[in-house]
Amino acid sequence: MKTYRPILFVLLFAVAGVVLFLVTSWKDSQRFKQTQYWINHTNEVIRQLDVIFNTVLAEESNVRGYTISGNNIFIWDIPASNRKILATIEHTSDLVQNNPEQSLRLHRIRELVQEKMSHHNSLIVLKTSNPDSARTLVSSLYGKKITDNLTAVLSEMKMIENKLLQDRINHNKEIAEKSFSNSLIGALLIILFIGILSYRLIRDIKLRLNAETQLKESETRYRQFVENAGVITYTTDQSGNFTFISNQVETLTGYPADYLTGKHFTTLIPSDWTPIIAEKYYNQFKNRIRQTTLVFPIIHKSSEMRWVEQDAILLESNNMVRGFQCVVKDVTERTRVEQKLRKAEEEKNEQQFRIQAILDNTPLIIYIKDLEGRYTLVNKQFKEVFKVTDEQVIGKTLEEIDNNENPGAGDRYKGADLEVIHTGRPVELEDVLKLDDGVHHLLTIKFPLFDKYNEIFGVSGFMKDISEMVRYREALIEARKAAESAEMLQEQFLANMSHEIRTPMNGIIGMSNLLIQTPLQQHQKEYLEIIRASSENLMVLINDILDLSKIKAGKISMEQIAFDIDTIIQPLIATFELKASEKNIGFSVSLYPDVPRFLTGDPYRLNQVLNNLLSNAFKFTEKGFVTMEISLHKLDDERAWVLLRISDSGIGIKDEQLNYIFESFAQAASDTTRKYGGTGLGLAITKKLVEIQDGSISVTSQPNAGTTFNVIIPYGIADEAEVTQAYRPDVMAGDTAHAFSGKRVLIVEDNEVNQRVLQLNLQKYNIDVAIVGDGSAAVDWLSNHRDIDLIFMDLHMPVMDGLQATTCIRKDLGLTLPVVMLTAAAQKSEQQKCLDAGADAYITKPISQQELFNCLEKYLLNHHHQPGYVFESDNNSGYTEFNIAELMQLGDAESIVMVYELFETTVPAGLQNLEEAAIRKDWKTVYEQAHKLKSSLAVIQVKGMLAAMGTIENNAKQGIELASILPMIQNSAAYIRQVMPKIREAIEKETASL
Amino acid sequence: MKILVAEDEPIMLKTIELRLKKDGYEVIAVSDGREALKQIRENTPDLLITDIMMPYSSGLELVGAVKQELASPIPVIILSAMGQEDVVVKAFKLGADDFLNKPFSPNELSLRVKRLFGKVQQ
Repeated sequence: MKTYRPILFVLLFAVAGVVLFLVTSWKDSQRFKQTQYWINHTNEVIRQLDVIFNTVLAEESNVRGYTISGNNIFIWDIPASNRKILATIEHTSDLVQNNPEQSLRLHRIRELVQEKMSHHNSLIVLKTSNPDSARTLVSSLYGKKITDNLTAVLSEMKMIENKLLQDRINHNKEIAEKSFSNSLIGALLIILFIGILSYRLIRDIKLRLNAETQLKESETRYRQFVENAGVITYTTDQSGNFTFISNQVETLTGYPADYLTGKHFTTLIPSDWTPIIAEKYYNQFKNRIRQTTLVFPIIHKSSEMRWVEQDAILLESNNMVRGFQCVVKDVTERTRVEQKLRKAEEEKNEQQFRIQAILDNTPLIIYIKDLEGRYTLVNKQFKEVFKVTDEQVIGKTLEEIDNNENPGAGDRYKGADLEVIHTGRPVELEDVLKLDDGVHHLLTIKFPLFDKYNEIFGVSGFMKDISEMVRYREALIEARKAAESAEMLQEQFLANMSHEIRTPMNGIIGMSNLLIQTPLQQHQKEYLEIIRASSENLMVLINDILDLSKIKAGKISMEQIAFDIDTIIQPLIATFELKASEKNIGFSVSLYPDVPRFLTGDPYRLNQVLNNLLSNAFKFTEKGFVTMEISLHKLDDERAWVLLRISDSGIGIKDEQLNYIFESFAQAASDTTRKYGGTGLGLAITKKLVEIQDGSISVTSQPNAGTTFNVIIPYGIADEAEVTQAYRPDVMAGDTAHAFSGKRVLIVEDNEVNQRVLQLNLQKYNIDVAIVGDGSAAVDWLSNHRDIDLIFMDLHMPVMDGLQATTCIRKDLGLTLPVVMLTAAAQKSEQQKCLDAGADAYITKPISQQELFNCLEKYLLNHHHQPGYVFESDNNSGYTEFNIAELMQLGDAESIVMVYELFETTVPAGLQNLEEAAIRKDWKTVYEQAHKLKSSLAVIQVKGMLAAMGTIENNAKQGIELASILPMIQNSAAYIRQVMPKIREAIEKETASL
Repeated sequence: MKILVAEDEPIMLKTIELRLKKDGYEVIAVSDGREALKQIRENTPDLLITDIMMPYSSGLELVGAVKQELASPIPVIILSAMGQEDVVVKAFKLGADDFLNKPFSPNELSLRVKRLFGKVQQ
């Protein structure tokens, strides 16, 4: 491997270094040894030389001793000593033989030693022979001379040898030093090489470890990949027995690899597939096909069927097939999806077939067009009705296939298509087309078709032949017309009936009223009361039935006139306050200041609604209270939604009955009628009346606790000027009976009973009465009598009716005196006719005492027709929050300002007192103070405050809703502060023009 | 002609006073029942116009005093408020001649006063 070559290289270097080092060391040691030898050699020479010298000296000393003493002991070992000296010299000679200089010196030493020996012998001989001569010889310097020479030569030789020794030691030292440095260099080199080697080795080990990790990882990845891919590999022998299987096989088959190894591959194949698969692989084997791919099912251990895709490759060696190498992939999911897709495709086709069947069998004509108007689909019905084939229609536009038998139809249908495309909404088109078999009414619904991006891609049309339906519809319209005319007849009948019943009823009620005022016995009075009560009930019933039938027939028309809401409320207050005091129950009315006073709508119906609801409340309340609140529910620039809330503390209505109370003849309980009377039509009428005024009515109730009706009616907002021209009933009710005496009234009436009733009623007020029987008689009578204050004129009369007579009086006679028309049929149209003819007012028969009184008060007292007595209050239009008409009647600026200044100081002070009292909860003072403030506001009428004071007064008196009093006072105080400057401004403006 | 006006509410009193003076009547204006009774006794007015609710002595008591105790022919006009109709009925029973509900038009009052004086003269 490449990685190891440098290491080997470095290793070789290291080994070579070690060898070199060893060789050098060995050489050094050899050299050292040799040098050491020569040192020893030199030392030996020196030592031998010393031996020679010492032995010679010792012999000399012995010879001398013998010479002196003659003792033989001294010369006993001389021969041995001589031999030793000679041997030593011989030995030294051997040692120095390779040194010629030293050999030469040794030779001289030998000569000198022999000379010395001979000298010694001579001495010994002489001693024995001639002791004196011996002594003389000793005394001669001969011996000494030889010794000195010998010493000199020996010293020289020794010196040279020492020098040689020194050189050799030095040389040896050098060698040792060199050897040490060689060793050092060698060691360093080895360390260096080992270092490099170690570094390379560590690096290589690291690299190898990394490589191994990477390899492991990639192997893991590969394994995971293979496992994830669900790929299993296996091999078989020639006959198909597993020889090796990868472990993943367990996931696919449920059997562990060990279990399968050695088994035949068909173990896993469903029996019905076995022959097929076996044949395939036999073929591959036989024909030596290198690779095949096959998809087939296998059986999982759990008996579940799995689908696999198998790539089988022949394993060959030596031109012999040895078996198969297979790669298996789990394709169960894929197969399932494929199967599902196939099934879906089949279903889609089926669906398509069904839709086509529906399209073709529906009685509707159905088609689809693209955005250019070309037909892309038409159903069988289309083709049959228009007698065309697919080839004639598909891809064509309407113009291309139109035979122009129905001029204009093409444009209509095309227009509808364009509308659908343009608006994206369905369009309906009803048309009449002439086809081969006659005229057909066709109803087409065209609608856009959107693609998945919500873009229109075409228009579809459903066409239905509605000829039958149209004929039926026409028949229905005919039938309805007939029914309507029948209903009109019925309505006419009811109106006539009502008229016919009213006339005699007028007599009954009128006469009963008069009779009851005559002296009667107690039981007679009781009978009479019953007659009167029954008649009145009957009248209510008749009126209710008439009203309801008119409303139901849609015959009732709503007025749209300007009116003053006060003029509706005040009479109601007057009427029901009496009732409240009769029944001894509380009655309070709150008209909130934010309700616009002048409204446009139907004041009569408003009155009727309030009247019905209040009557109802009073009827079912035995103790406690009845309240009426009129507030503003909602306001915009044009309309005010007025909320009328009438609450009572009466018997209440059970939950389950709440749903029915607005139905005809449905009182809260069947015994209610017996106990409380009434027709059970009141609420039904009320509801209808509210609804035809675009209003709504709702009710909440608790049995035995009370009932609250909420009515919301939208009204237009009017101004005062409009109101004065329209509805302005008299506000001032009261007993001014005495003021009527001496007045003259003409009654024009054909019915004698009614003549009599009216006459008697008028005479009660000391009014002079004249009577004529018809219109023409009235005109004649008036031609002669002008001193008359008022005319009551019946509408229906023989010879000349009331309308004609009134016209005559106004036009021909030019009289302006008031004419009041008496009508029976409570129909608006007739009443309007009365006014158109010139009558000032009308009264519906039977005439109630109150109505008559109101009428008299209005026309006999207020002198509308006398110049100078016309009220000026109408001049102050434009001030919606207050009314200073009354104040302005004072006429002079000084007085007006004086009163206003009084107002400016009194009212705020009064309000403060009121507030303090309310804080103290001193309700008696609150009541008195509110009452007084009401009076203060009577001259300069601040409307919102007046209503508030009325409510406070009433509530304080009765001890109800006390919690609301203080906020009401505070609101009023804030309100008056805001209005005061406006009043001042108005007064300044008005007085300036006086 | 001398008219006694009894009314505890100053604005109303002033307005009536001014309006009647405009018609040329002499007006005695008082603001409680006690003062009114005193004036009736001392000044013998030709007409009494009185409020019902007043301190010290109510309008009803005044009517009673004039019509019953003094048996005077002086006509009496009652000033009442809405909701006091029962009191008005009582006043009539005591002999009152006319009544006006507040708020009323000063012109109407003037008219009624004129009518009453006319009747008395007849």
